[in-house]
Amino acid sequence: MRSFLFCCIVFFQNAAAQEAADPGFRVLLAPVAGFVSVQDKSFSNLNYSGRVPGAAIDVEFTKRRWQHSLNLQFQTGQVEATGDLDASYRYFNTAYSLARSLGSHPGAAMQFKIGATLDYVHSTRKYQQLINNFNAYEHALSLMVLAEAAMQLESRSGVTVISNRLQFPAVSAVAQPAYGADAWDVPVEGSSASKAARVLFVPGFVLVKNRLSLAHSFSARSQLLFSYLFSYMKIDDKRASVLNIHQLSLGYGFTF
Amino acid sequence: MGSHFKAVHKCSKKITAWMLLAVSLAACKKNDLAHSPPGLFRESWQVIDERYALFPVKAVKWDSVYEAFRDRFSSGLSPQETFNQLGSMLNLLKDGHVALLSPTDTSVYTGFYKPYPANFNFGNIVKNYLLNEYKVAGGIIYKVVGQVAYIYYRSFADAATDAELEALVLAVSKLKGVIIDVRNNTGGDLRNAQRFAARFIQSARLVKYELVKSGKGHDDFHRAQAFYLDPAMPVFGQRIVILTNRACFSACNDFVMYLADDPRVQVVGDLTGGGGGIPYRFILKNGWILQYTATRTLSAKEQPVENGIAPHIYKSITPSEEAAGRDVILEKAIELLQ
Repeated sequence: MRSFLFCCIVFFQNAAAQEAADPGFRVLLAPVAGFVSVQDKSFSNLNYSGRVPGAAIDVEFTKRRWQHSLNLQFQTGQVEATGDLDASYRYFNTAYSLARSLGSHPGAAMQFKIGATLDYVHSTRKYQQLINNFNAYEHALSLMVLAEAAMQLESRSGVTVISNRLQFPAVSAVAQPAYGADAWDVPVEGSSASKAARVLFVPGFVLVKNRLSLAHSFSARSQLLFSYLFSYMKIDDKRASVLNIHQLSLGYGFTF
Repeated sequence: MGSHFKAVHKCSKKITAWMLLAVSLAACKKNDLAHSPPGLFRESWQVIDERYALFPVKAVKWDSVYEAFRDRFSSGLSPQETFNQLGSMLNLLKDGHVALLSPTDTSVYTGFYKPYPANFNFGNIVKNYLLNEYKVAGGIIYKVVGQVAYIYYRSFADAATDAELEALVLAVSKLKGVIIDVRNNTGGDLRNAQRFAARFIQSARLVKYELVKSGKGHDDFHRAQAFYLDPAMPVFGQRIVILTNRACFSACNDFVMYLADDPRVQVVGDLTGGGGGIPYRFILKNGWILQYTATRTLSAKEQPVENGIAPHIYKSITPSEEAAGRDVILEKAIELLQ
């Protein structure tokens, strides 16, 4: 009975603290160190891989149990394969997520969230050793489900939150060049991205994202965030391609 | 309890080690097989089987080729022998766009022009007809002689700027006619051929259809796409004679096709080398590049042009005429424009 009362007191204390401490807007800017491995079966069974630096901007808004977040990422660089084969690579990703805290109160030491993400990926490669069919691209707009677990640790230097967010697609609209229509002057029916878009489900299209983050707040307004994001995208259609992306980022966040 | 835990822990470490070893061995084995001669043979055969667009016009039974060549690719074959065998297999397609490229070697079919008379000697033209004087516009050389201009486009891999093409057309616009020599032009960038041709048509016209593969079957194609060429002002509006030989291939073949049906145009020389269709490339597991024809080109009259375009007037240069410094194909063109 005494422990139950103690739990209730802690719960309401945390709740009261959280009501007062909704962080509002948080903006985070981060340079990204990335490594990508890509396979385009239209061009080769080889994996092209390389370091691709970039940048990321995250905007978060939390109100009671609801967290809205908008993420933008851009990466560019050269990817290489055996025998001096290379390609220029570009990757752009933007995602809007809405997540709700579950079970424990948002201020609790252990938190769980579930939610949904609207995610857009635009990836392009230009293969240097190819002629006519040297351009590859994917546009993928996905509605994803997300699950997140977070643990909050308090110390004298501030609050540290370790979290892991997993995202998985429910349905996706994917556009690539039409099969065989890679050349610049062959405008086959449906070769434009908008016309080539088709709806795919798992396993035709798989996009799994897992982000492990460590955020340390020095004060109510400033935060340092280290994160590792693994993203796996696979299109198993007429034009098959696989992207494995590893990203490390260290960013600084401001709360307004 | 403690010793039991240790035993289980030791056992799990062993299992993990064996699993790691098995996974790495499997990965090595898979990689080695892909790079092995049989692996490269299967990959190359399959790329052509699924992507090559000209099976409907080639008398090749590709399944039979697999059976005929399978036993030639033993695991002990050297890289050069593997390259040579793959080259032999690809040559059965008799297609100048099909090629195999390694960092040190290239295998490409040359049967579309090598067995035939060259019908071209540029040294003779420069010395005996241009008298060692001509103007240059990008990849084009030309000379005006009386009421006729001689224009030679050596390769569509070389570009001419819009300004250079405009200056060329203005320089010849008042003449009775021009001779466009595309002999030994083995193609290049199709856009250069189209930009050049656009200076010699007077109105927008349907010049070809392109058929693009839509799947892995030999007869899987998207609907034929009509391709129109628009004139680029200023254009040349008088008579044109185009000189061709068997080495006019690919983009050059397209260029001749764009203009050959124009009533102002006469084509003189030999059959062109063909090469209708656009080549794509595929990179094999060992880094070699396999080039193949990925589309089919049909003329505006929906005729295949893969095997070349016939001239209006066949003309050939004999070895004795060439030795005497004569180009009877060029002489016929001059005669036609007089």
